[in-house]
Amino acid sequence: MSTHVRHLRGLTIATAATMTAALALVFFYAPLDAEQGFVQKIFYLHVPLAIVSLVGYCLGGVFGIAYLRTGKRVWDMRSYCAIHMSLIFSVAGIIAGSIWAKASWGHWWVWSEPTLVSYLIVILLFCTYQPLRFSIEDPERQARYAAVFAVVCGAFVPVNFIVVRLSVEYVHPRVLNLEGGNLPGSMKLAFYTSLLAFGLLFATLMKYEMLAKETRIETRRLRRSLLGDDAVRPFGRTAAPS
Amino acid sequence: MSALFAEAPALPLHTAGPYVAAAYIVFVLILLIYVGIMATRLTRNQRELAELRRQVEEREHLATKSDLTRVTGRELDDPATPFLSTENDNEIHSHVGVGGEGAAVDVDIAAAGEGGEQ
Repeated sequence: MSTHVRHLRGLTIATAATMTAALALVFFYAPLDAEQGFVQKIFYLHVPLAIVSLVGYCLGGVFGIAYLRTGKRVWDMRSYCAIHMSLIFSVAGIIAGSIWAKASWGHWWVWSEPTLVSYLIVILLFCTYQPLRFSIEDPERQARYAAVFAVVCGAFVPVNFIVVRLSVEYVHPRVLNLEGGNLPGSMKLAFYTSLLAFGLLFATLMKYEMLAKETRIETRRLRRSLLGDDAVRPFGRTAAPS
Repeated sequence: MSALFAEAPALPLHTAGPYVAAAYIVFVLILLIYVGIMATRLTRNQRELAELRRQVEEREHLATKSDLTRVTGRELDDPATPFLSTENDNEIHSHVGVGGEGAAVDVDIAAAGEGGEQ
């Protein structure tokens, strides 16, 4: 078993346990919000998903730097999987946010709200990552260009976040900041447990995806070495590392 | 579990409930779709591995057969000349050790080449 899939079972169990604890805290421990009531429970889903996905994009950039420095394909694989998982989390996060917006603001989407629009821009930006990879056939070039893309866009994520924070007009509620925010203790516990659970879920799914891809590549390598090049169907054009 | 639910506050599901449920269900659905896709790929990979295993076993079998044919000068599956039943039996036994599991046939071709016609 390769190094990056070590402790996978432990991680899976930890994820399941933390997720269960988070859901229990959210629904049975954290009090109802005085202003929004029960609909505020979406906060414990939407915000962790958004935070984890943004961190995932940055992580993809960090892995991209590691690939450019070392040239090892495993970093390209990590970068790809991090961005892939982040996209999935982003889609879930933006749908959850949209439902929350409809429940509390009466609209599915508010174009004048900088946080929403900037988050959408980040998602759309990373949506071009897969087509970029797909457009390049040579695996070496594909990995190199994708790493550059991941680094540049990964750097854009915190910059974008800071700019939105510094902007004057807010519609989006701010409950978290560097001083701890204005969440009461019980809500904070539920939120941070939720954040940890989603972070662990991200790590677990990413590792599973890496294991699946690595197994596939190993199978092809085995087939090639045992049965010759003719026995292996060409990958053709693919966005995934090969 | 019932004690836990008795202690837990009642959830006001009548007004905001559908929205909260929808948000969480969407997340679970996305997760399930992802896991489903991964499971499909895993199944395909397993199938490919099984096929690969079969092909390798077939190749090993053929290689063993051709090696034995070279040693004995007879076809392994030829019913007209039953294998291991002639005057060369002892010689073949000395070169071919038919083991237990997986018919671990150990063919010493070099030795057979040197001493096959003694």
